[in-house]
Amino acid sequence: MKFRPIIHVLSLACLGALFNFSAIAAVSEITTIKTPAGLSFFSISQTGRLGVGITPDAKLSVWNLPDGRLLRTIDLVSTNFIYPTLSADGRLCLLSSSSREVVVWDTTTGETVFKLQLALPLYTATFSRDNLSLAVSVLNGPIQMYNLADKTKRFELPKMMGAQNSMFSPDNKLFASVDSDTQIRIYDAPTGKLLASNADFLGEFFALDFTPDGKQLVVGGMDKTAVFLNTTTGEVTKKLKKQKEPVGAIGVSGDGKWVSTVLFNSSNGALAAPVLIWDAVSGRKKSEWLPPSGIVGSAWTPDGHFLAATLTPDAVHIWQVR
Amino acid sequence: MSLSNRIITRRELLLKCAAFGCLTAVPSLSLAEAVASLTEPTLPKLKPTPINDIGPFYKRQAPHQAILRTSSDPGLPVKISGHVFDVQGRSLEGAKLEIWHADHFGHYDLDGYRFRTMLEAGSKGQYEFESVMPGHYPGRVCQHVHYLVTAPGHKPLITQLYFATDPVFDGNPEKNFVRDPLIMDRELVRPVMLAGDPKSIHAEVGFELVLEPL
Repeated sequence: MKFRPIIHVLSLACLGALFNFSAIAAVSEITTIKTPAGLSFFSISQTGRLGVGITPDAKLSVWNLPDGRLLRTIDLVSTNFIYPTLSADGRLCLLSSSSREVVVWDTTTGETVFKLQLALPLYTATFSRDNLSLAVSVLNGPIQMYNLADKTKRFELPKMMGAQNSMFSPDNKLFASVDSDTQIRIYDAPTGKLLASNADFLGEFFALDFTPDGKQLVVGGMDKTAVFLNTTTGEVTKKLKKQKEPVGAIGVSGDGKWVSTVLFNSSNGALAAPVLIWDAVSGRKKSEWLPPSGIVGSAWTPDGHFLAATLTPDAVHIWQVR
Repeated sequence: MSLSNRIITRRELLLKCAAFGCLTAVPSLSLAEAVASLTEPTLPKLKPTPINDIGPFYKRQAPHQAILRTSSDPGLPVKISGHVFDVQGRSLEGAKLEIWHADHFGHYDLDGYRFRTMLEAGSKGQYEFESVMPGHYPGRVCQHVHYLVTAPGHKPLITQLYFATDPVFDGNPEKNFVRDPLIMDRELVRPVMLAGDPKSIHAEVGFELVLEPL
């Protein structure tokens, strides 16, 4: 592990703030986690406190962030586990296998806490913020909601073409999905009742996050912009400026003041694409950063820092973007 | 209920018919089997087309166009055709086919509708379009064409067509289709025929589609 702060173009950022135009971001690489064997997957918890990665020898490594300290290594037994999904606080980690098995580990103990055998491959999974519910959707199938406390299936949302991504509101009362039919749907999380939807868009959305008060949902995807929706009506309240690439990840800061959009290179997802920070109220772009390669994980820390991770063959690089 | 008032079942009627010589079975079929074949629900005749990943990059409201390529588009011209059936083998006239793929270089058009179309199956369930062989999209292993097929009373079919000539298969798609983890069924890899005269050679691919009932 190596601590290597690099300040890029801080002066430009200050000038930008002075003259009220967006600027190139001030970025520091705050942590480098050495992974000599390489990583096949890496993910950051929503609070930015934990990172997990899968190594080729079928181990799940759990690191504390931002210092990059290795907390635990969990033996996965099988090498075919892919796509780690972390709960917001990082306590739970879900992995799915090519044999359609879904396993949830407690990253603090290394123990398995939930298992599921799916009929079709897993497409997306999301934990509620209190770690009591888990929403999973299979390939082209409906979202299934599980109670992690008693390990039972609570309900299945109505059948549609499949979900690209989903998210619980910070108070766990709402559940939203961006679906393959290009619609955005907002449900009552405890019952699965549809509360609002939006079918105004032609292209798929890939990313979403709620504002801290749960009153707005921010979504982004193929349209290359981020859109704010009223969660009661489903209506669009604001659109951020269109970019050159689709939006792959969205995050709203804990105080609700900032929105991050991580773009992805539509020609080759492994290549670099910009990361942008926006003023959530004015919709104005605050800063933009072109990382050295594609972003593999990002998060807003509770104290308002935006973290993003990139991979090289032998390391995970954690960047702080302002 | 007296015996005379009892409603006779279809099976009983058929057995009576057999007793009176109104129904006979071919020598290879026992009478019981023959009756069973007439009384049991009709079993599906066709296997539903295997499903596949939708995206990314699905876009609604593609234009209705059967020719997706222009004369200046790079890439091998390809004509893709087939039929849409239900599991009983009946043609699904009017089925909607939304089809999209990358260009010769593996790029998807996100802003417009290049190499995207919405077709309607004809009276025999037939469809056909002309395009270019898609390139390899980075991040995916194989060349592919996306399909979303819908018809009233049937489950939407989301699938992808792959090409047996894809260099990834090293000439052996039977064995090597697993090199793309998203190809969950060999059936989705279709043979490619080269047609036309040497100056205007093009590929032809058939892809039949079978939708499950709701």
